Amino acid sequence: MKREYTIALAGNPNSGKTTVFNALTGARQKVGNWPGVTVERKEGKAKLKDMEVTVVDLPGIYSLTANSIDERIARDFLLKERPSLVAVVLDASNLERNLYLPLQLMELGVSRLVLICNMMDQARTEGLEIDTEGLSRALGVPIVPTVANKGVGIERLKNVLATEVAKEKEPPTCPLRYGEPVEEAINELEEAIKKHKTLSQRYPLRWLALKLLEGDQEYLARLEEGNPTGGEIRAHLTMLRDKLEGEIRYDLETALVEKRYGYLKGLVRKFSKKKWDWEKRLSVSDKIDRVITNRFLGIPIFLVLMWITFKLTFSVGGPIADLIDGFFGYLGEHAAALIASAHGPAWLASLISDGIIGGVGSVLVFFPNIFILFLAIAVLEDSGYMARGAFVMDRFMHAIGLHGKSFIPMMLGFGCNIPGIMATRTMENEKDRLLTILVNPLMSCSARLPVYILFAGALFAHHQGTIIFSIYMLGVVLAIVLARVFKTLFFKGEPAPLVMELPPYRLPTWKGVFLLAWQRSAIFVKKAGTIIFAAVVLVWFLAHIPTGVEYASQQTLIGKLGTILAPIMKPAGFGFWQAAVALFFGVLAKEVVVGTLGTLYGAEEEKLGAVIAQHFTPLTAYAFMVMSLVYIPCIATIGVIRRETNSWKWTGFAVGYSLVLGWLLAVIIYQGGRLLGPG
Amino acid sequence: MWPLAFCKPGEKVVVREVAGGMGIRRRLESMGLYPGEEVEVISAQGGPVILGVKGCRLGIGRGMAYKIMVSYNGMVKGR
Repeated sequence: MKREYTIALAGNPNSGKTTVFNALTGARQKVGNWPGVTVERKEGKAKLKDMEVTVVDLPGIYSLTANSIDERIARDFLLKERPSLVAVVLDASNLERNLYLPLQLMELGVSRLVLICNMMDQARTEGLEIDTEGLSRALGVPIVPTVANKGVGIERLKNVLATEVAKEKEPPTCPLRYGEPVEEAINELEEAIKKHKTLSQRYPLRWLALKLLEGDQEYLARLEEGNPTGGEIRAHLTMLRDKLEGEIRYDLETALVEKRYGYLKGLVRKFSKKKWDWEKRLSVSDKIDRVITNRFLGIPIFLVLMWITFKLTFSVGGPIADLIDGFFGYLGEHAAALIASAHGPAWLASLISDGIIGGVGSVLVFFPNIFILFLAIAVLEDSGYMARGAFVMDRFMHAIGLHGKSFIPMMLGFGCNIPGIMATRTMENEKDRLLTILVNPLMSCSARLPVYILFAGALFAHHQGTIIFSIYMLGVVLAIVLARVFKTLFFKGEPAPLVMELPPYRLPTWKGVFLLAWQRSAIFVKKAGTIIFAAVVLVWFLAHIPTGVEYASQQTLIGKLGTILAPIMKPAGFGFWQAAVALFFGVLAKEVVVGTLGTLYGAEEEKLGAVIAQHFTPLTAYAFMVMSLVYIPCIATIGVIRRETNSWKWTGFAVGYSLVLGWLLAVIIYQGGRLLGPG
Repeated sequence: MWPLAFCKPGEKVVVREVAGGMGIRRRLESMGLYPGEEVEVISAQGGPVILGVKGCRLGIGRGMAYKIMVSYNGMVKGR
């Protein structure tokens, strides 16, 4: 009999679910050292013995009560889609808390459950010896010890999963008992709930009884949903709760939680031994934290880290970029010459040298800068700094109306706004989340970097770094100001309280960091080969028709389009058609701003930078850079904003405010600059 | 009882009460923080606090640190 099996990977954030997922499926999903790296469910196929199963990697959860979107995705998958088997990944160093979720799953009556005791090596270096077999017997659930990032235990895990997933079996009985008075109440309540068909057919009675006793709002609300017995059960429940609270002398919810943790504490004590000071790793981490999260040092340290990132991006990336630039220049000339000598058509030579090499090449030149930027962000992510940043900036973020957790989406936005916006899924409060999404595009992403490097290099040769840094800072300042404004206008109310797990610091591995940076910069290269390529060919084509007029002249179709748009930008000082169409096509992807200029000016003799220097003054170049920063999120970002806000209204707002703001700023800078001195 | 925000680094205190809605209480419970649990204050800056809870580190924002009431172990437990 062939069956389609699904295995769900669940567990606390940062316990290594994605690492296990990658080891099982051979995928290369992103991992990182902060809670919330995975915010959507990812599927993959794994071969277990002779069968193929679907493995689903879920966002991290601490329990089955979900507060944020990523947690809801995980919980709903477990509760509603009912996978064939749930494998819970545990951080071996923190079993007590990590076992809370599987304990809930057992109470829920999940029939096929496997525990993966991951990061066993880490536990061992902390002097922790875990008797996984004993623990497995006590819980009645198979446990497989692994070191997933080194592949240790994966073969065994595959075998266990293969046997368990196909087993026909009753749910394991949860060994946890709550003691006399509570158990009696559970039994009584179970009898009462039996009559409630809609609920009792979906969930085990014991689970329902427990949830009701705990006062879980979700289940209480469903009690009365179209069922006449609901009121009766509620009355019974209130009576039982009052009676119990009178007996145990404090609130029932806390009593139940204490019981669960008490049970887990006992288990962990019985089946693990501390051979030496197991908090050694933590004590180093704690010492670092006392400095990094210090009230006075926290923000300066953050700024220094930013400055280093920035410095590296330019000083290391720049020279390599120049080499590539030279290479493309050489390639362009020779390709055209080669085609001409082979008696190829002139249009082909032009397409290749002006269009493709001039356009796509002018963007690809910036690969080194972008790679280094991603490398620096990956180091921050992998080291464990990200979560600290959220914590350090919490107070500041509050002051501007954002949430501490907004920090991570904003930081990721420097790389690309899309993952930045996705990362807002970990935020519990919908208002905080919307606000963070709306201002995220102001974080200057790597796609805008080529525009700055080109323009600042062409017109501010001696102050290139300062100029570009000022653009980045302008983005940050705008985000702060607008967050404050939007907060007062649309999102009044207290932000959700910040509680966040801080994973121990670890030295980033070369492999991990390079892989992450490579994957992200590969997206950039892929973009160059697809959307940027297509846009550039389109621009080149439009610059050629109608036939008979000079290439890239104002009489061409693109020239006419630009001439229509140019007057809008006239008050900002760059009211000529090339700049207007560059911005116009830049909506497809911000790199296309450079790609378009590269294509249009490709026919001229000098390098692109030199051509830019002829058409722009320092003042108009600065206004143009600011415009490129603000004017509109790229198409892909707009799509993600739409999906994540689930509202055309907010998407339209994000587009609208940025267009107006970008234009206004460009105009203010140009007009202001002219008043102050010669442009 | 006093708010967690007033604690000093190195102190070990017992959580007594969490003021706040069911949502945040549930969240803290699932992270191992609930009335009766002893926690260690790792870092405190007159507001935000880093706590050691069950071998993990939790960063608690300033607002929340004022809503978690603690006292020393051995002090009489409230109702």
